[in-house]
Amino acid sequence: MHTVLIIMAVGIGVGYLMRSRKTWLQYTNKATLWIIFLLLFFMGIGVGNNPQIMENLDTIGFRGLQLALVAILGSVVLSWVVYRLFFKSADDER
Amino acid sequence: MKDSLFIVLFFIAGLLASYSQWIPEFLLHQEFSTYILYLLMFVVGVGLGGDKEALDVLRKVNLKILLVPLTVIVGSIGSTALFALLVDDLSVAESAAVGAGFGYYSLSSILISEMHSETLGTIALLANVIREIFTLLFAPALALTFGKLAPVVSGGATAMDTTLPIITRVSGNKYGLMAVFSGVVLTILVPVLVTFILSF
Repeated sequence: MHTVLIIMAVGIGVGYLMRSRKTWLQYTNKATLWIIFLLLFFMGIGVGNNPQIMENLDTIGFRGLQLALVAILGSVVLSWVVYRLFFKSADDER
Repeated sequence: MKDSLFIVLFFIAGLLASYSQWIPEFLLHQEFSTYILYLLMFVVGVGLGGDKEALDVLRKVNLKILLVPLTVIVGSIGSTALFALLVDDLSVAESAAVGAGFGYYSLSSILISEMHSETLGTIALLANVIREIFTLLFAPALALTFGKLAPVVSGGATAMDTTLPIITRVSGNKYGLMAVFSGVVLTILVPVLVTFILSF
């Protein structure tokens, strides 16, 4: 699966070389969105066809909610410390 | 935001279509989604490499601004990893991989369902969609409770686009700039960290 990272790195290089070709980049960004649509549609197909997921949608949904809140809480609590140590005084000076 | 809505609708459309058995058999056992994923990784890369604004923001890197994405990484991965110890149906790596989506739900859920399982991919999709919506709704409350940096880190990778307007409104332009920087760094790191975490 390191393949995906190598491919993305190649893409970044190609994008950097194309950075002044605005119309091409716009096409790329449109294409990105449609590829995401397509892949999530396929992911939906896989999930709808997977009884193990469909029968446990409530548990899975609850885990998703929990992990979202846990990740947000972890980040904002840490950011409170970082803010007080490194950012707040710079704000007060203004 | 409109795009986010469509992304979720495409997932639900696929889910309903296959659940109600409208999908022809050959589409159910497709191998080609791996190749579409490769194509996606390429175009995402091109988009990032060609983004002049992102490049300009990255040039302004200093030690202090690096703390912002670092806070998101340590806060999200650390907390979700610890959470796995409290429940018995998630391993530390599985839980941390969902946390490492940083709100970038399209890419993280696709990667996780491809590399690990559809179940974890679905959890990642929901968790990271909720992260974006939560940030949009509660950015003002987060800033009041945890300081001006909180909406930026809550937004994670989405702080460079979907949640940027609310972050700028709540915390100001200075934090808007940090939000773009942090969002760009995290967007690049999502595939790197998810791949790395799931290799355990």
